[in-house]
Amino acid sequence: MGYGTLDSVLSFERSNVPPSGSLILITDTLSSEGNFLIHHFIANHLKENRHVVLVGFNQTLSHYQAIGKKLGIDLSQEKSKSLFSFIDGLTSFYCSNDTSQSTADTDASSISQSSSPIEDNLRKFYVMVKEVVAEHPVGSAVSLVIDDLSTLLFAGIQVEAVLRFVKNCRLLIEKNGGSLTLLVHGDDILMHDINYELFVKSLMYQSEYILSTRGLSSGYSRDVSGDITIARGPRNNDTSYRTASWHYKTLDNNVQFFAKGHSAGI
Amino acid sequence: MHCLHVLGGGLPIGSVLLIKEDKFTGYAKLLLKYFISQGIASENELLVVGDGVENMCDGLMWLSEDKDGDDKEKSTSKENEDDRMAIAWRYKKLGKFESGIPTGRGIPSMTLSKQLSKTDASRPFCNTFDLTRTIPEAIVRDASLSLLDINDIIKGSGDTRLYDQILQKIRTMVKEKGLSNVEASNAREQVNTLRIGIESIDSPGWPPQRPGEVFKFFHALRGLLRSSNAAAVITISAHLYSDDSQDVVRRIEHMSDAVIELDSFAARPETADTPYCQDYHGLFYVHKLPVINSLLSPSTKLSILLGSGHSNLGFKLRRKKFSIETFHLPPEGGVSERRTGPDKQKGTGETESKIAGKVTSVGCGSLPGKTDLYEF
Repeated sequence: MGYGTLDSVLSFERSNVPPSGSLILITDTLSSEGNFLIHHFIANHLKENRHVVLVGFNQTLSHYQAIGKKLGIDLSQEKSKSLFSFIDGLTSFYCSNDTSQSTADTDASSISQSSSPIEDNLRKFYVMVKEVVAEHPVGSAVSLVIDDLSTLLFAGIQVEAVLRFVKNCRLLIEKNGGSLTLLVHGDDILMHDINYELFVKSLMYQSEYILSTRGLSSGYSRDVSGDITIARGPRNNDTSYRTASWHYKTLDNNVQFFAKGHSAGI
Repeated sequence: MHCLHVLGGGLPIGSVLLIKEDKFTGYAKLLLKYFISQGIASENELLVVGDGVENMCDGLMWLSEDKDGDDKEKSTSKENEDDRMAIAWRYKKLGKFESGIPTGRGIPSMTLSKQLSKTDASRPFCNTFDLTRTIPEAIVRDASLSLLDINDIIKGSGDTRLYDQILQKIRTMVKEKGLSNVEASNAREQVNTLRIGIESIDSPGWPPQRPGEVFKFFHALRGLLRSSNAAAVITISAHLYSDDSQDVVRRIEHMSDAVIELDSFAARPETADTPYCQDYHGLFYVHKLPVINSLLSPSTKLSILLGSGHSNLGFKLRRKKFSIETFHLPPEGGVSERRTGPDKQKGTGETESKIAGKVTSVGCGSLPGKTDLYEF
């Protein structure tokens, strides 16, 4: 039971750490947030003494730290060992075009520039990611975890720019021999936007493993948090891999996975 | 505030609660009013943003004072308990059935900021409000209530960068009142809380903004609130978005910490005159629960309604309070008096023979003694 079930299905060659250069895509929905997978992958990496760079567009560092403690890792300690770095995309992403910094004269120009300043931000942001990754020793197989890439798209950045960002991140990671873990939202409603659909599908096409969580169609349940499908992505040539589809239940410091209809609470 | 009971006794500091408004009726607005009134009652800092906010803060409900009403209710329920069950006596030990939350129940304070509970433990987090009472004007005058009317912003600096202006206002408030967690970490004693209420964000009354601006506002607001002693409740007229553009709302929902939806029965003709309409005014959905610093939302454990595993909640507005309860369909056939049944005037023997007589004379027909057109 617990996270171990997930690890055994993924059966990575090297002790629960994704193979180097691979992309793991997590898609979630509003009713079944996929954060528990992000936390699990971070913990797995750090338990194997692997370097992790976490980009948090959604949550603050203290959030990850608090959950890390429950999963048996101390992020601040790992940080001091320089195994772990955190890039805050929640509070710092808009800083460069904040009203607090910029004066009224940017007011007029902002209309004509349309959405380009925020794409500048993304470019700057990538430089920051690159610098942080470079802080880790060369050849240390740094893995990059991006919590909620959808945020960038929702904030008005063009699909092409975000995909370019992902591609650059991937190149960066492949150079180091680490892996890339991305979380995007995959609600059906969001797919009404054709650009968003394009975005999610092109990420799926690039990925080695796809983990999708969905809420139960019958609604909220105390005993089952949602269902999860762990599938092989198009880039994965492991033909022996079998797709698994389970129900899961989030607990305080663990997640239980079980075959559909086999919840302990039923 | 009953709405926060559902979330487990309160809204965590640093989080945003999104309320998807009901159509045609103003129940979501009422919830926001509860939030503001509670803020005034707890002497928190308040910021209310909206289109015509003066109306919003007019005639807020105020603390319920009479405890007699509750006591009366309790005493009558006690009497009922004394009624002996003659037939279904086995059910007696199951206890009284409660679909809502018992009144006067202690509110678990774990989800709310701990430093607050230490400083004034005597003050309750959630007061009981009486909708028939309005807030005394003197109290409103003394409350540190800031109103931000979007029309004033537009007059001041034009339609563009509206959300930046609101954010800027929140940012300065946090700074001025010393509510930032980062700066005030050593002076913990008397940190007040800022409550931000935004009514019908991005509704037609608001000047149109570039797509994505609302989302950016939510993103930046979350970043700002996480580091300050503040919480926000924002209502959105989600029903105004067509089915094809519901994704815009969903994006914002993803960026909010908690999402609830009020679905009024009055909104649709199919539900407007159903039998359950008498008991409830609409359905109450919880789409997302606040999860901060934990894997599992504390609400699932603390919330009385959700903890029991019920996902079907309904709300009703009574004379004095707004309440959220587990939704039940009424008994089939209605709750009115049964129309069929033995005639009490006549003796049982007589009725039996009469029925027997009927059976012999009628056969498969519909009326006794009359040859039906379709009789066979």
